[in-house]
Amino acid sequence: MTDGDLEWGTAWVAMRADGRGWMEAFSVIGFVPALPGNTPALFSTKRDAEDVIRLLHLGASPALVSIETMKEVNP
Amino acid sequence: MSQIVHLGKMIDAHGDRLRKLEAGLLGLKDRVEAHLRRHDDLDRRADAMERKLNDTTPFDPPLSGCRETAWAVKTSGMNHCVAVTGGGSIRQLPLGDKYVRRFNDIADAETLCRLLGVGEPMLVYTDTMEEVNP
Repeated sequence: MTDGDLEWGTAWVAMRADGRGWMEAFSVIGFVPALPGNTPALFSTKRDAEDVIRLLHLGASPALVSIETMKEVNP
Repeated sequence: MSQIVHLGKMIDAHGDRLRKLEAGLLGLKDRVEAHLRRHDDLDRRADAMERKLNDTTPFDPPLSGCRETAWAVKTSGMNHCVAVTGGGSIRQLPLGDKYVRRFNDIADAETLCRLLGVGEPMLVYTDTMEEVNP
């Protein structure tokens, strides 16, 4: 998969380096446990996820997740 | 008679010393004048350089008085900005807080606004973290 590609029903998130959390939708706190009940900030391209990680100096990396299950696709 | 001869020699000796002193003073005067000319030349060159700088960077106040600025992402009317704490938490903190993220380029602030879906870029002085021309 190249940058900008998005499989149907997936989105990019900023996943914490240890894989145990993702960047929460803004206005709450930075990272929350990567569980279906917690809504991450979703990005439509990998580049956007990389940009937010770079600009906020987050110790994270882009990860593709299924919107339905909120689990990482092909981790 | 010998006393007169002796006095004459003394007068000659003093005359020699006086001439040497005069020559020394003249040399000193020349050096002072040369130094002043060099100083004037440096002043003129500095003025010309400052005019050239002001022509190419017409800031007000002058370049020497410019303060460093940066861009922050303002999120509310209370001067709260996007900040990332030491633990990696993303928060909205007052403008003066040390964790407020700053950017050299407005494009970075604009990108962050777009990606977070909030806020607007705000130019701030980095020394006081006050908004420039609020």
